[in-house]
Amino acid sequence: MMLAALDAFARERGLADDPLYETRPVDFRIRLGAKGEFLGLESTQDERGKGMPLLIPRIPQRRVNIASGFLVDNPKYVLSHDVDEPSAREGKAAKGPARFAAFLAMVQEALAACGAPELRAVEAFLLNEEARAKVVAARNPEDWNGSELLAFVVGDAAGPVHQHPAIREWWERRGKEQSAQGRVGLCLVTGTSGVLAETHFVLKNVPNAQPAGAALVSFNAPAFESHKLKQGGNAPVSQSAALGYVLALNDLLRKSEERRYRQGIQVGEDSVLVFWTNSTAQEESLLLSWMDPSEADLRRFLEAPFRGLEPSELDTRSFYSVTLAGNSGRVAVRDWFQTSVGEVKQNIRRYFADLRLGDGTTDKPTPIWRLLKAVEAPSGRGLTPDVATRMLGAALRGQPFPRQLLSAALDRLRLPPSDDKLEREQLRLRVALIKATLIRLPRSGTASLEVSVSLDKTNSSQPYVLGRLFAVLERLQGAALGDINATIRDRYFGAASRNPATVFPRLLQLSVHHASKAESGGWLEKVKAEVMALLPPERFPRILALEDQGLFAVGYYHQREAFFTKRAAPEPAAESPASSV
Amino acid sequence: MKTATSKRFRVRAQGPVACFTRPEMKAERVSYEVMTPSAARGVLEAILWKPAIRWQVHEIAVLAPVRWMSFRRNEVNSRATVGKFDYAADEDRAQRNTVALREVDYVITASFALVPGKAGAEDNVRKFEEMFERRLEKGQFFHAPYLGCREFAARVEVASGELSPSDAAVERRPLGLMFYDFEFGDSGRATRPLFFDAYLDHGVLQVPPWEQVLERNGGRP
Repeated sequence: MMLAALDAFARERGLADDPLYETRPVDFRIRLGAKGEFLGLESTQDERGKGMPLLIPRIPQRRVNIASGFLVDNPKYVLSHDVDEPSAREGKAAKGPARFAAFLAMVQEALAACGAPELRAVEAFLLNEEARAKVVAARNPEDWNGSELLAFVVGDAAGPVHQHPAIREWWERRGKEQSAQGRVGLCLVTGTSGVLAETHFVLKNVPNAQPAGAALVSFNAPAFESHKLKQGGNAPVSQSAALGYVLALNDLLRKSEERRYRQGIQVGEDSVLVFWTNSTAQEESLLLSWMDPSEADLRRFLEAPFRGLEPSELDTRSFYSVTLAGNSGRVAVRDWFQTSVGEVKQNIRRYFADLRLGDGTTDKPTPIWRLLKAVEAPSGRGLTPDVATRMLGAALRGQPFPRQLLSAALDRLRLPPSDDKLEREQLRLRVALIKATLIRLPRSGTASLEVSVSLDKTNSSQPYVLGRLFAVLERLQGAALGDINATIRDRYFGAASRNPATVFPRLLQLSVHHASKAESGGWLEKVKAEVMALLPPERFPRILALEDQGLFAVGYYHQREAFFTKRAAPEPAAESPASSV
Repeated sequence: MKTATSKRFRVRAQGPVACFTRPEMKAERVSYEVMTPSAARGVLEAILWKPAIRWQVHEIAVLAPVRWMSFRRNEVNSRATVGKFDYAADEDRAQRNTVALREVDYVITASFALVPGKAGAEDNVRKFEEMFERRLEKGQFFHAPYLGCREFAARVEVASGELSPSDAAVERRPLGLMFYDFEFGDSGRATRPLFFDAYLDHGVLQVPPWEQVLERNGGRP
């Protein structure tokens, strides 16, 4: 279904219109005289070193094999000039001559078939080693990097040789003949009969994959093949469908002006989520700006939050998403699903509603990578990629978040903050993630957890109240002692949230001393009494479960933020019970 | 032999993990959403298979909602070779990703037919029917029944009467082209995979008969 949807997408957006040609930036034109003499090397690169996009005969798939393009290729093929060749390992046959021979053979084959004078000129040039050396010498030796694309122009013609009508005709005839030689069979993507692909094109720009690209459909070891079937025989896909899905994915994965992936979101270290719809491109860019807002998007959202996620008539169209991860030469699918555009919009809305924490200031979306960054281990190794994938998948599907997120976020809270400046923002992100995870817990059997956006004075759930109490005690200590090295938060947060009974009695004892010392002690004592009144008279709980620890953290955060807002405005922040989400 | 086909059996197969691998994503496994007919045949053959019978799956009812999980494992690049024992898996490692199904629950409806030429004079349908029933009830099997991959064992039992599919309300849900089974190349011909248009009809996968699928796949190439 996935490949079929991608193939359809490529067809709809006109990406796979021409299997014989592709548009690539061509860096140089080699201008030849009518007899093949070298006239000049013309650069088409702009000031940023990018060649001019030109329609060229499609360059075949290359890994370690030798396969030449037709009339357009890199200097290794066109000039037999390889920058790296001298440093190649001893004993390994140099590929240079073979590459050049392949390129020349193609030109000669075309010449024999259609006899165009331009081809004769190109052949004459290629056979003349001196002329080729002149081309190499036309540029500074260090400037060649081996991947420039070179095309030919003969005489004072404006268009390159490969666009000459007679030559085009030959190329197209040859393409048809070649594909007719392939095995015909039922294609498992389209369900129609077609010429089957032996191997598939590669995807570029998938994280952790080989820089030259990696294939999604591949059978590169005997263990992946079955019943003596070879290569494409294991998964019969027609050549056109194989090209279609690759072009679609490559288009989505392409680098764009402001993004690493035109329509993809980096998930964790090694995966990328790409999505597409059979809706419009505008709708897609809108969804992207919500799922993974850029800085410009964030500025815009400040003015008009949630605009664009309103229902529209396109909501019934399909939405597809796939998470890809590179595995050296292959690409693995980590996650894949299909739903409607309207459903996704609703889930994105709910996702941001679930994450909302504190008053008013955060109606703009937080980029997912920033959220995940906040709960990463300080070692910098990140979350396991799987957690990130599942969290994003759950957000888009409207399902519960993975439980590992909760423990990761709580682990981070237990450690003393490393950087004071980021501390408040990091705390907010972590607690927001905890809150969203708690709200989404599957509500079977156990009492549902109600978590509000900001301080809820009526919430008498024990972990929540304990969290609030902890914030008050911390505040009391701060008021009494000012800036100190290790606050009770640094020393006791983890213990207090896991085993309240072992920590709270001692902290309460301490707080009496703090209260007598602090200036605002009287008022804080009153708040403390108010919070304590919500606790049952019996002893503190011995152990809090993971979910309860989360609630503890939320209570702590709410109470702490309430202190901050109170300082700003004399009016208490949360007079009326905040609406629970 | 009067009747060459047996009555229809209903077998329930459940398991914590299952992977019915899509052929196009075989190296980095991704499962189909629903059990394939060939996987269902595999479950039945684990309980009873003789050269004289051939199983035909008719329906696969999906009782549990589709849920996914993914994990990576260290596997090897080579296939097992008979007689080669000095094999060092450490030197031939391939890390592969698997996107599998979790907590699956199916009811397979199937019957078998006697294979002409293979069934002897002493074979008859009733004999194998009773054999299968007995083995299923006792929990006997030739090898452990599994869900797509050998390592995902299945719990197999007789399906009780009243079981309803998880999305019985959805009239028709297309699943795309699905792998049906291999046409095992008899008499030296190459094996080839067959595909069919799969859809869930009130939560039940309707499996077409062999002849129809062969026709869909263009007979013999």
